[in-house]
Amino acid sequence: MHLVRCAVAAAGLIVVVLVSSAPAALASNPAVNIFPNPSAPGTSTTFTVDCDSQMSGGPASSATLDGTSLGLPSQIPMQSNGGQSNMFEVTVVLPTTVAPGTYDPGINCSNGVTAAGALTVNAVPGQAPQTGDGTTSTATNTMLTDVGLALVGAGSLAGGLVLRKRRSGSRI
Amino acid sequence: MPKLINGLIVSSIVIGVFLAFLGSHTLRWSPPPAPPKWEAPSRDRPAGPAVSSRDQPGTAGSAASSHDQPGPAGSSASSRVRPADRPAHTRAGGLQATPMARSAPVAIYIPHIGVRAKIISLGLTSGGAVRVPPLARPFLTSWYDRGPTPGAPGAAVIFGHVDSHAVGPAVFYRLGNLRPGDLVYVTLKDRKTALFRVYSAALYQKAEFPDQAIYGYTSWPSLRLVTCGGQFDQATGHYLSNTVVFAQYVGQRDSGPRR
Repeated sequence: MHLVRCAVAAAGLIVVVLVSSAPAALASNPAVNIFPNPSAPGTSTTFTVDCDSQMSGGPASSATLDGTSLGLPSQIPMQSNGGQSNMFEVTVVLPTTVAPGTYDPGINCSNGVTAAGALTVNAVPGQAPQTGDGTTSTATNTMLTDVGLALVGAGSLAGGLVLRKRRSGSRI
Repeated sequence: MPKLINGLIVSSIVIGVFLAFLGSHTLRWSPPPAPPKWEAPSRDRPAGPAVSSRDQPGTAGSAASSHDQPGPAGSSASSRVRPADRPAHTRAGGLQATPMARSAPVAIYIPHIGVRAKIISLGLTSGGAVRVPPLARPFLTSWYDRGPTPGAPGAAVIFGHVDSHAVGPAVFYRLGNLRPGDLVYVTLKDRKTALFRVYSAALYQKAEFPDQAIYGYTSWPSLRLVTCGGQFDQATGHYLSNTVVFAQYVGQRDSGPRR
């Protein structure tokens, strides 16, 4: 049993290694890092790209983000990321009108390298929630009313009995 | 003797009428408590002055000192609170102050206001509004499942009713009584418990519901508790405001809160 479990785990590990090493071997698609991902309308979202690619014709001096699919400008200049060459980043605020879904905004590096990152945009509820029916703000003190009505009823009943008794008493 | 009986009868009728009148003109419960009005430090300018004077010129000078003073209760005016996006002050005591893996919340425990409730996962209605538990289940809370889970980076949002005809005060009736420093425990499906500390509470008019302050991303895990509050509009059958409590993640522990 233990052996079987080990074998299954090993097989799973091999698959994971194969899958994860496949893109690295190609090295033509530079990595785009998006944070946070998933993001949401109105949320500041940072795109980071590594323009270094073995296919490119040299280091990149600049990069732009194509934000048209998100309702942003088509050429958003990205800033050089610290001292790292070929690393560029930009932080944009997603428009509040952007629809929930998956987007792949493109990034163009000056050395000809292009990249696209997959960004998931989650929905933000459009209306304030309705969480109550106003009972504590509107419900009157029905218990007090009930007690009062019971008192009125009992009083009237007793009064009626007394009157009847008095009337029948006066006849005698 | 007949005089005494007559007096008893008359007085019982008079008192009865008075009580019936009083009962129909007073509320059985008091309206939900409103959080005090204050200004929280702005997220955008953490290094600047702690108090923003732009939105509320009248309170600008005294806002810092009025931080803990309750405002007029029942007012539906919104106090413009921007939640602070800062890491929690980590504390020793078996707590692990690292963000947690995604796992749906199943229970919430707020000792200060005596809340111990189940959490269900709900998304959006076809109209784009957030779904909340049915009024017939007034002691159930709901987590907005399109957002982060409690303890994961971002703002997890939990809703609960303030009142319901079935029971009167409902699960989040006393939410407006929470104050900075109060603790909130959220148990996740993986049996871990996330601990949050309240840092702000505010009343917002529904028309000015601050979507970004509530659902917007926060790098440190945070929690928002939302219910209704303020004045009740008989015409629409809805409260005019929402009470929102902002809390930040303090840490996690493996077992649920001990009784």
